[in-house]
Amino acid sequence: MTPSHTPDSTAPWFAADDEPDHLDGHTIEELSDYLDRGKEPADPSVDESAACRIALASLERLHGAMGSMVQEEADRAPARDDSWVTTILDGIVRDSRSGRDIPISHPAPTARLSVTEGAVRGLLRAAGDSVDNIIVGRCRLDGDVTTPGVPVTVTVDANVYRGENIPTLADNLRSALLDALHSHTELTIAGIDVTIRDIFLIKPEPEGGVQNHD
Amino acid sequence: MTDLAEFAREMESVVRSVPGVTAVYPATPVVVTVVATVVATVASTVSTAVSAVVGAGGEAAAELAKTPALVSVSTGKDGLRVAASIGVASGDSSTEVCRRVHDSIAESGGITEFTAIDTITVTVASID
Repeated sequence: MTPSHTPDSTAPWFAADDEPDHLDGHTIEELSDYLDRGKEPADPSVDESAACRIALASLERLHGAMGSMVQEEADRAPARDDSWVTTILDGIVRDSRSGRDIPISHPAPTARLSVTEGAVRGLLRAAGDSVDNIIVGRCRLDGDVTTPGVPVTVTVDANVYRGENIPTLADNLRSALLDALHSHTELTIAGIDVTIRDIFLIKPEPEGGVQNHD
Repeated sequence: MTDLAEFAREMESVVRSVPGVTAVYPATPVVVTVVATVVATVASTVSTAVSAVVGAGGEAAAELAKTPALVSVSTGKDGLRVAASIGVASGDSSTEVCRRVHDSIAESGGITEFTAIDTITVTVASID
């Protein structure tokens, strides 16, 4: 297992935001509460914000994963280090911000087409979370994404259920991320660096199955 | 100004109709949009109050009270500038949907009334 490397919060991709704890005026706690209320009553300032929508989608997947924590582990959680949850929440906030504009080509000279870095990070997070037994913690695009053709490295921190085969999961994650990037961007991907770290989650036991503690 | 505002609303409809578009976000920063809405609302309220007293200005108030279009339309030195910020379905391709939105704007009937296009900006802000 590779140790986790939490990116320096003073790095440019993070420091570019004026309000580090807010997404279009909303905190992650407010968005979590909104999700818990079933997004009722509707709040246009959230629903019409791309950053908030990206964060809500990530929160929804995280809530699903948290819900799978078996009761035994949940009972022990207060005595254990649960900073991974905070790290993921911080990552959701940072990754959801719009960031840089990544160009999309078009033959018309008057066309200015792009996809935001935040949209791509949200896409990567969703693609990663869709891989069985993976929860993405952080995503980062390293390199000059604003210039077509410049090689870009994707860096992802991911968490796995305890006892899973990490090399296999990392390969599956890379494959999912690459497919998503090719489908939605014109980025030249030099590599995808995956950092896996364990968390205190046990994969939910299938109906009638046997729990395999390691 | 009114023509541009109506054109912006027309462009918003065009953008929303493009397959793969899941959302249209304010093309201008949220703070600017909120301020503009507040200013328009205040102006509308004042105008309504004035019209109640002097019996005029109702039409202007109604115009100001209209919801601002999410697609931005303005005039630049080289012609018309249109900007749209969209959400795209994850099952589609952002690059393809983005180009389709551009082409739909460029080929829409309303835009041909303008002599020149400065820029058509389309930004994918979320992939849902």
